[in-house]
Amino acid sequence: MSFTLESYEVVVVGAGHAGCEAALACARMGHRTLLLTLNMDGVALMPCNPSIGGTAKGHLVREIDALGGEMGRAIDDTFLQSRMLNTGKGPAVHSLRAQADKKQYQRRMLHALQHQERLTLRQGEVEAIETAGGRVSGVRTTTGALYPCAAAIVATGVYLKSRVIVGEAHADSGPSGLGNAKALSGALERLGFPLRRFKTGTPARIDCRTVDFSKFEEQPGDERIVPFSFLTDRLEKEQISCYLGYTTPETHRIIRENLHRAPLFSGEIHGVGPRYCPSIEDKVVRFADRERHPLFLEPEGLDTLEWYVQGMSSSLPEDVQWAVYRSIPGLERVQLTRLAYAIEYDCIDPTQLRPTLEAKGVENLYFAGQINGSSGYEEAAAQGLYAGINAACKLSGREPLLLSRADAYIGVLVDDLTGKGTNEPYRMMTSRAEYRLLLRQDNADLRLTERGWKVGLASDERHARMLEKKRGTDNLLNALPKAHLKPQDVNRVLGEGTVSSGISAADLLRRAGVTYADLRRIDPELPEVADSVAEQAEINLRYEGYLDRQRRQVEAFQRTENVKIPQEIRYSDIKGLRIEAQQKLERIRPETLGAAQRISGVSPGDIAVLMIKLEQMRRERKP
Amino acid sequence: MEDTIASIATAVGLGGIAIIRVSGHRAKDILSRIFRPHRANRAMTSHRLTYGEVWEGERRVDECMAVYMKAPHTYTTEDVVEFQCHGGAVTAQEVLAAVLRAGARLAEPGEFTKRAFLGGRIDLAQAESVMDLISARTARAAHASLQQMDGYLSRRIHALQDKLLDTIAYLEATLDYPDEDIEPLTARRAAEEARAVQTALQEAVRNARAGRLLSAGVRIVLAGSPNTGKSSLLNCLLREQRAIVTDVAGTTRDVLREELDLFGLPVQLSDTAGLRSAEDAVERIGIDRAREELRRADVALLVLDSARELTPEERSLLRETSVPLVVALNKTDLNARTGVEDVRAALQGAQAFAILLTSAVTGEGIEDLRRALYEAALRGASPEEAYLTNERHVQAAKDALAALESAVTALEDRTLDCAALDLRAAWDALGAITGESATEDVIDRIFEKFCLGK
Repeated sequence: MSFTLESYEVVVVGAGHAGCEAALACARMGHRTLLLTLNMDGVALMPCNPSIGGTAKGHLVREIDALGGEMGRAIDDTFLQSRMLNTGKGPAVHSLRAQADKKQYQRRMLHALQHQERLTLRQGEVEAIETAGGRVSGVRTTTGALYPCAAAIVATGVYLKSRVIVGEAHADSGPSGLGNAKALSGALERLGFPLRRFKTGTPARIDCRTVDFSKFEEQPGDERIVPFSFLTDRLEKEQISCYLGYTTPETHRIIRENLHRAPLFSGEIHGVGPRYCPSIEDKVVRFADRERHPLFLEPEGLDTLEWYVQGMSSSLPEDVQWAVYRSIPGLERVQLTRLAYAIEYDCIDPTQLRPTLEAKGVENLYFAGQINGSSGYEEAAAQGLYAGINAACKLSGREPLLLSRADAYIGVLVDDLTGKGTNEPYRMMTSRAEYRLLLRQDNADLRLTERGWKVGLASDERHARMLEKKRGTDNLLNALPKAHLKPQDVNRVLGEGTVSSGISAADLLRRAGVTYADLRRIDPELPEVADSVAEQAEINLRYEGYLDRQRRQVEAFQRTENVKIPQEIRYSDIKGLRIEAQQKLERIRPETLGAAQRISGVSPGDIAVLMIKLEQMRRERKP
Repeated sequence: MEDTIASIATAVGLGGIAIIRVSGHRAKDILSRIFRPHRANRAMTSHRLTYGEVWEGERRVDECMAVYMKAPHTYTTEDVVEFQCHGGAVTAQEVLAAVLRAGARLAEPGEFTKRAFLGGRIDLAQAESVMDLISARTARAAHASLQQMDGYLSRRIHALQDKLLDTIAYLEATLDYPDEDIEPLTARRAAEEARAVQTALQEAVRNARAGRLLSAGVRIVLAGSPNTGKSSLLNCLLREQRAIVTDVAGTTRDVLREELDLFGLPVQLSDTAGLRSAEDAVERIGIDRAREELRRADVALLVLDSARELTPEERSLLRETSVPLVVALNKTDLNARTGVEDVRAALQGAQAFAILLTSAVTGEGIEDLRRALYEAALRGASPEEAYLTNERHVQAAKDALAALESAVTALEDRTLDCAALDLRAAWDALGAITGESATEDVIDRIFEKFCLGK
């Protein structure tokens, strides 16, 4: 029995981190949006680690925030501990990470959704995406409700036909004991999206009263807290520490003796797992010479006694898990509250998507998050936001928001997924960004807020703040070369012999270890500026040579990026292309010459041949 | 702004004329820096051939025809300059080297065509003919790269790239996984590894020079005051009578060139007119040529008469010779008035590669002299180890060296993100020799080597 309910402009399937951002973006950009979730208690669930951010992921959160997304503000409101990682290694890799209170985070996001104009949140399992003439026409649930709509965004996370595995036991289930989605997989296959199985996992949760914390090393939060959101001025909060410990040779012995019962090695698990998030049994096997592996105890929330054991994900049988966890110094009498498990799920091949995350085969159908083969809350949220913005742009007849590899980590993420595809759950890393020195977390607003504001998502307040920071930075960078410092003043503050003659403030700031605060102590006439402005000036001056080099690389990149490849091109007809290149290009069908260049297996020679073909086509079109 | 690019546009080593093509906004500037039109003060008109010479500083590289073609009516739609110089590998490479030192960078394969395309330039007929050329070349290139994959060059470069990749992966792992149990000495260790690759590359560049000498030959110039026995010594080295030998000072007026085989190294030995302040106009021309020859030499052999005091000209030569210098204290069969110590003192701190006692009459020291000349020419390099065989490879190696230098500095400053950029630039520069790309390789390597992830 099928019946038609009210129609929407956009229906978002799944209310995880991708779905929440997608739905908020569409609604905020003026479109009537329905967000369907399998379970109202699972909205913005953090089923794995209780933290947001980290290397490269922190960059993504700041970019989401700069464009007008929700994640940064949500974590600023609900964090338990905050740390800026990598501070001694160069500005491009400074990365913010915060421990979250999981329940509070969910409630915070739920609040944003429920109070968003034009957004409806409802529980329901989607059975099919209806199409008419190759275009989305509606979304139907398993209980028969049909929602006519112009666009749909599929953000089903790890729920499609998911299977949870603990040793020999396995169950058809979503994460954290929630139900899975059984019907949509088949519908997607019928729409022309072949599915693959990926796998991920999570460690056990423990009762903190059974932990001897004295055997762990305390890891407190930063004294000076840097907020994620560019809208948050200052954060002060009593923070909760995390704890660092190590596995022992005994841990490794137990694992080795029980490998025959590990699903990962017995063949029980077929899905492809991530290399960067290996289970403890995987680490012990692959790095047999290591005597210990680090692990971290992290709180799950303020009003719970459950803690999370970072670094110890596993799918070993329950009896082995008890022995493994209890072999760790300080966990001898630990009580496990939830077992570690592996989870397998269906996902699509993201090379079937355009650079806007719209499907190539079905108009107005978008995919975002783990269904695209990614992993991580932040990667999911970034895609959700991006798909949401682009669906909204398309519905209102505007140009899409296209972020390139030179614009943002989000651009790297989407280009990697749609341009190259992935054979394992994809995690963002700073080393994936070629222009890492330009794509810093400190300048995400300067890079992106203007664009988020132009598409109607970033607020006027956010835009005004960015402009103020930009003006402040420009003014300071203008003033510093003209400010001359006397040697006696410099040496008084920085120590005798620092300089032998006068120096401009700009040149002094270029020196390692010198801060703008030092300059103001040398010359109190220098203007008082916001910390964020001083930081921009410091980085821009100190790394000028490297930044210039990266800008030149970006220019070269953009020249090929601007050459569009017509979609009617037939690679098999191009004389001179090698077979391997023909096949790869035919499969991925890149939209620009730059994207073609990045496909592995396409050589510089192939690109030269392709360029000439493109020129021929261009001339034939305008006789 | 685009880089200005250059390469030899004609087949290397074939044909009587070689064309060096330069494209980009600096092309005209490069032309004015190194090209001296035969009729000075004559402005270079666009699309007009001009006769003149290529100079590098005070050194004349070659005579040639040059043409400046103003943008946009050129192949690449940029400013283009072409030099038509004498064919043959060495001259063309030298002109190219001069262009590169004046500010161009070596073009990648197909890069001129790429620019022509990006400029919206190539017409249909041209496009098709270039396409034919490229597809014809692919078959040959496939064959060549197959050979190279098998070959020494690739193995050596791969070994260095591999080391760099390890270092990059190590560095990236510490950047992307700050919580992991990775040895904290990273910056220092990475700097050591970068230095090790640097040392190997420096040796490769030195050996490459030796390799080129092995095929192109070495220029050794004999110099010295009149009647010190240069010609006799030359005859001794050649082991046959060639130059006119008399006792009258200044008999050798012009430059005499002889081919000589030094332990397998082909040598062009030039005997110059004696260096002294000559009154005779004809002789003076000879002396000017001698000085010019000396500047262009790979090795200078200065012959001194041990039976005489050092003349002021000889002293100035000892101090000023810029190329590796071998000093032969000749005529030891006569009573010595100048010894090795006197020569050392006269050097005043300048370096001589070797100072030897010789006698063309008794044959004393001749074998040692041959050995010293050989070693001075190679400067410690081994031509049999020369695996960088063309200018493009050498240039890539030099680019990698510069990037490594910068990486070491960044590592010392503990800006590891900048260091990573430099190390990748070094890897890419070497990749230009073997033809590969980096990012995926780095990521694969990270996970192969380190136990990471929470």
